[in-house]
Amino acid sequence: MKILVAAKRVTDPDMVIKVKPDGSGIELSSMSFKMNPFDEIAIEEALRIKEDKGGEVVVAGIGGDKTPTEIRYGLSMGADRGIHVNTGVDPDSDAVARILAKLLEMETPDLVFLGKQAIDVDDNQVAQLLAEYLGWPQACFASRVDIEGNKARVAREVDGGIEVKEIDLPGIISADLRLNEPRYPALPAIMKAKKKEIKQVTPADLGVDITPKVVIRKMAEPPRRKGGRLVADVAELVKLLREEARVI
Amino acid sequence: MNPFLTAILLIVGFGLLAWSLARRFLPLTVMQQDIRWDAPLPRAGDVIKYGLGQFRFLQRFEWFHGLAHILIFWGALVVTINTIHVIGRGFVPGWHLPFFGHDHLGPAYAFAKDLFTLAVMTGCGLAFYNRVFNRPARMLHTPEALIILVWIFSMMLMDWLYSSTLFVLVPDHPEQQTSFLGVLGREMLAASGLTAADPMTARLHAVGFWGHLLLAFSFLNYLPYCKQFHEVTSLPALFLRSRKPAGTLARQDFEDEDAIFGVGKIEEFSWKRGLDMYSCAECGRCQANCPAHLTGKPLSPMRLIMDEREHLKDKTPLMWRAALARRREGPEASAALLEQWEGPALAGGVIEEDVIWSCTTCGHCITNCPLMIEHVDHIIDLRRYLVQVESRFPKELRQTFKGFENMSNPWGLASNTRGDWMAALSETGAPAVPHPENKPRFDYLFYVGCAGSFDDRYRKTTMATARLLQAAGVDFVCLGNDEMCCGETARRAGNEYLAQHLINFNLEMFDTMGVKKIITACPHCFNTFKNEYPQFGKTFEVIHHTEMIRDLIGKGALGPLRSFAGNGPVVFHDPCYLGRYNRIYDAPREIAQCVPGVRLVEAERRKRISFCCGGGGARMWMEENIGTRINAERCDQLRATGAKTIATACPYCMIMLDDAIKDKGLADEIKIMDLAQMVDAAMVKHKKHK
Repeated sequence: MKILVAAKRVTDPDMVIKVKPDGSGIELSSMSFKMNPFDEIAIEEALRIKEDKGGEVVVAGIGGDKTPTEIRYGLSMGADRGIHVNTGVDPDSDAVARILAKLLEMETPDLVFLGKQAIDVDDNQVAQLLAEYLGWPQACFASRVDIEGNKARVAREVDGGIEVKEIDLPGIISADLRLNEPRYPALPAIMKAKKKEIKQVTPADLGVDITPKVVIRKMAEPPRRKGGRLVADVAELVKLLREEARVI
Repeated sequence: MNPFLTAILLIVGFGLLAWSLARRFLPLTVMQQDIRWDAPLPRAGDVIKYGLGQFRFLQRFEWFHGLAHILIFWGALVVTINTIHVIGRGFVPGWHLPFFGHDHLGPAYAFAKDLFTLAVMTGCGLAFYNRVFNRPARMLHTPEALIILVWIFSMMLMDWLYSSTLFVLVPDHPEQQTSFLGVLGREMLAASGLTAADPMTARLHAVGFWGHLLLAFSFLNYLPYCKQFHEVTSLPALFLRSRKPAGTLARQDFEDEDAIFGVGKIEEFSWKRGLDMYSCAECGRCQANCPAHLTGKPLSPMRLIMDEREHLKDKTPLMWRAALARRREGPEASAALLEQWEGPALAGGVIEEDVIWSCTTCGHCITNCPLMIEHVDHIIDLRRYLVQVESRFPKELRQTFKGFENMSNPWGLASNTRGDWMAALSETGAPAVPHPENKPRFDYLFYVGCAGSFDDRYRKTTMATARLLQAAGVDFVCLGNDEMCCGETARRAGNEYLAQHLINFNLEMFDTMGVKKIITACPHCFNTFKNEYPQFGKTFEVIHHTEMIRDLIGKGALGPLRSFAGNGPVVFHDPCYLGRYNRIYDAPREIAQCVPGVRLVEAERRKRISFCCGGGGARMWMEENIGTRINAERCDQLRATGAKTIATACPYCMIMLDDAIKDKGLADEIKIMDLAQMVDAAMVKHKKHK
């Protein structure tokens, strides 16, 4: 089974984020980056399926010049080869979906795995858009995936329970947090990954126009949290909740 | 005596021994290479100091047991010459080595031999008494050990019988002038009515002769199969000991394509480790003070070496064949044979994972082993295999490794907040600490470390140290957000690859900034910069803050000190990486005594035998689910001194012991502080800041 996984390079979620003074975006100069954690989970699941059923796992990274660092990490986890679509700056979700759609024409995988969303902009769009463009079935927010023949049974956590979907392959699955715990790459795999191929592609090669449809007008930090307040009794608390907070 | 029988005894005795030795040593040739013959003179010095000098046997707790060993060891060295004489006399009556004739060393030797025979018998007696009545907990109490003592004792008795009867048979034997033991035996025999003419005398003489030789040769042939094999291997093992400072781990070369990334199989250890396994005499000095062993963890450094040795012996038939194949057909054939092993794996099998992860790398075992076996290095080799090759480690460490990778600190806290302590320092009224970018020329880099930057409790030490340096006018810079982890914890967790990534990054940065001298308050960073960075081609002058503060006080640079604010006596807890590994024992104590009103008390386990806080070897970032807690144990030991303040000089010790104090609900009774904080609080000069 051939599986394609998309991996995005994102700002490290543990870093303290600062907005640029002009509000045009995030201060990236002293920022560290890593692979989107949901994409890491997606790669792990793809690798487990490959280890079980055989096949190939391809990691596709769409982004600027540094993206291959993240693709290489996927290769050191055990993926077989990588594709880097160099877009210079990060494209919006729609452009990513259209680039992936073109890639899938070239690669013709049996299954596409994506992280449910990238933790930098949290759009949660690509899997759904891609399914729409290709007309493929989708199963988003997977917490368990079983491949049986030409079908995938996907469990997803919903409010109050687990919903199980069955989709035909080829199809698109996006990974949720509890799908698995990604492996820590072992050293021989890291060494091996250094020699694996990462193919370089540009949006122009694929014939995709990446002019953004979504433009960020302004970014601002949320107001700082103020300290709590001690109230004298329940009556005062109820009064404040009603009049100041207006929640009851 | 009968030359024919003596010859047969010699041929059979030495023939069997040669076979046994080949069986033990040839398999070591399939283990990893290790060059150990550099610096022959200092090595010979080690053999004299630790071997002949028995340096590690006369320790504070141990002198009684040590004395027994010294008597037996020195005695055996002298008495063995006599055994050579006895063998010779099987062929030629009265034979002796050159210069041992009656007009040379003979009389002196006869006296020395008797004296040392007595020493060996006394030593055996003491050791026997120890093992039967004292039963020290550190030791393994096997019948084997007692059998060996009786065996050695019997050899001495047989020799005594031999010389006593000789003197009865040859009444004018010249040795009688000095051989007091033989004369005593002669008189005893005479008193019981034996004469030279009595056939019983000749018979007893033969019993003495053959008894001595048979016991000696059987003992020699028993050696390779028991703990007493250290009689053969220990002096070579001491000569071939590692000459690196005790606190350093071997550097792995990731450029080398054939390099192994850790030890998963016994043959992946260096052959010297194999020799050490044979050398272990099961004395248990390593575990006498092992924090893991004493708190109920499955790790005992002695057990570790013994289990490895058993495994080595189990694998000997295969390694024997592989060693022969290596000679005849080359390394590939040898490797292919070793692949056929179907027994348990070494890492995670013979040595279980819980054993491997229990070690705090405190180094007590290494610094107390009389044969200088490097238990910690064994553990790290095994960890390296588990982490780097199999990606198998306690799951908590995943977070830690990721933290180092992404944020360059074990907690994974935002690396762009690493320098926040400097803002907090400014809020106390202290001047700003410059960054090398703003101050290209500086004397010292004050390297703060991960705990110094991120741990709330320990940050106070960082700030205190910075204030003291400022007050003394020391020209120093700090790296703030640009600082990276030194690599210590990743290295000791077995993740050498990650550690070298951090080390190389630091080296490059230090190089660009022109760093030459480093001050650090963390003994782990201190040890890494001082002893491990030179492996990567850079040597810095590294100063621990206790040394620095001691010197500053000595020079009067800190001005007068106010009285110590805490109450009750103060005990200093020796951090492993400061004390045991780097032998800085005095500077911290001198600082404490410079603060007026401090009454310093000492813990029973201190200095070289200090007890670990439980935080080293990346243990700080792992759960401690087996046995009792190491930090609690240490806290009790320190409380037993009656101290109301624990002074220390290490972030791990501070955090671990502070946790123990809080867990026990003793926060009101006993306080813990770094020496820098103690001095900082006593500074008269600081007044205007606060």
